Amino acid sequence: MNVSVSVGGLTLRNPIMNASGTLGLEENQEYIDYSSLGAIVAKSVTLNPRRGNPAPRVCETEAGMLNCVGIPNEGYRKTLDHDLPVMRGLDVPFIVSVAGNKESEFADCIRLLEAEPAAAGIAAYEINVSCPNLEHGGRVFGADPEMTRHIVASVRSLTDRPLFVKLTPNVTDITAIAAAASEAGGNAVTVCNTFLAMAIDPIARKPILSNTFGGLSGPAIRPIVLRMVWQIHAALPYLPIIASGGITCGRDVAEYLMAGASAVQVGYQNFCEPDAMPAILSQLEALMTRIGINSVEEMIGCAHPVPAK
Amino acid sequence: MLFDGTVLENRPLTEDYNLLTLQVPGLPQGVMGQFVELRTSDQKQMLRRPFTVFRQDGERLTLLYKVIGTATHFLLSAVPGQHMSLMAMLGNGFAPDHAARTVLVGRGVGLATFGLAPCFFRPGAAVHLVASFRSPEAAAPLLSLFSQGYQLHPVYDSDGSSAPNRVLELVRSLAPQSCYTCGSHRLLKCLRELPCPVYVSLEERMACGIGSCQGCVVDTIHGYRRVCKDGPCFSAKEVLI
Repeated sequence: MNVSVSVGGLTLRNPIMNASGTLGLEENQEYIDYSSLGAIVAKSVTLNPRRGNPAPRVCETEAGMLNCVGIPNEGYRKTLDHDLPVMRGLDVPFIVSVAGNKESEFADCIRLLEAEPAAAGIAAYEINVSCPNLEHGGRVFGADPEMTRHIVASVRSLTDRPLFVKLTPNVTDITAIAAAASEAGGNAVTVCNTFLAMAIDPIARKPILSNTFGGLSGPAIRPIVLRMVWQIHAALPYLPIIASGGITCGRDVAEYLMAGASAVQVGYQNFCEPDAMPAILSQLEALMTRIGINSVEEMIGCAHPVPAK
Repeated sequence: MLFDGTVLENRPLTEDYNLLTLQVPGLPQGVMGQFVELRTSDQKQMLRRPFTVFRQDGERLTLLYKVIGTATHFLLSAVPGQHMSLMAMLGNGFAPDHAARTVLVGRGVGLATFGLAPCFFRPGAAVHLVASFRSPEAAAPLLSLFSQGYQLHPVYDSDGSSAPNRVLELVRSLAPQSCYTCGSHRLLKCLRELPCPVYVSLEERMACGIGSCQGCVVDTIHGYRRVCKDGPCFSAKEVLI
């Protein structure tokens, strides 16, 4: 059985990776053999350190959770000074996630990373365009095809490494944003970030999250994300997709692959089961055996109708 | 680390509180203030829940829990012989303390934090427990869990003795060399006025319990710190509450 895949210029031993922010390189190390994964995605870094939001930052819902963590990080230097040394010697591609609140911040961050010899340890970048643009009234970059295009184009010229653009689902037509990301030089799209949502504590009579709103992740969003993956693959069949949304088992991975994804990211489930990802891979392999599929590549988009000749 | 526990006993203590005892092969010894992340049902798609280590006798672990939401409701139906996955031991417990006289202040299910106190302090230390309840009727079953190794000082809402200023007065009268509390921010603010070192075990909404998700932060003089990984035990001087 062949579970290796190629995503936007990156070859992975299998299609399973974590979603950014859901795996601590040191915290999860005792639970997972990282070399069993397709790739590892770092927590997002920004140009300068960020504190993130106050607590409560998380809240469980019926089939998932809300978070308003707010990308706390020590700035891009953490990638160089901490993450890359930890990853050195581990046999797994390392994807650096970059976020920002100004258009120029993404490019500044990648320029500074690329200037360091240690950047050789970076397999690809994931561009998190789900952040608010503080120079334009807080509108999320990824909600606008032109803003998405500008950001991707601004970083494309700075690196030869694959660029994966992580889309926000809080848009009217995600295929238009995916097209803009691809046209500007994105090698793949990650579909998708969390859904804007909230919860209220009726006893306290106020929102539970400190930020009022947060992002919904977990099994609740999976059918919606599956629909988005399907639509993007149908509209842009040449564009590799990394699906991310509520994966808890091998069957969920198979659904995403068949909808058109080339790889997947596991997020929420890592919090429920710190060793979830290797188990999900085993379940995928068992399912492939059961349904008589020998390679993951064979599954990609296979649920779409074959166009009439 | 992940462990496979087997339920030995799950019994109600009062209408609100229950005791769950598990046999957990390979369980490392916990320190007062440490916790476990327990999967409370067969549903792997639910977040685990953090429970402080109430009592531990080798591989036998007892948790004191209160039914609050869905996950703790599932726990009610746990029966002997049932397997439950848990992550242990998590967080930093309280640092070793050689005080000859200490006071612990807690309320309700928060008292579970002090279940390991008799083996935490040095032999012969006077361990005073100021335990806060709604009423004497609500107190009796919980107090019975602290009958050995503690000098008990129950205080009640019903007679006003649990008011933070009254609790502070009581703690002062006990002249402790150290003081420990948990949960209540109001009590913590009050107890910080004591002349001795004060420590707190904090609660916060958690997702992963191991520091990955960065969900359970508390503001401290060093910036945000994760309650699950950097805590849950902190010096009261550190936390900005």
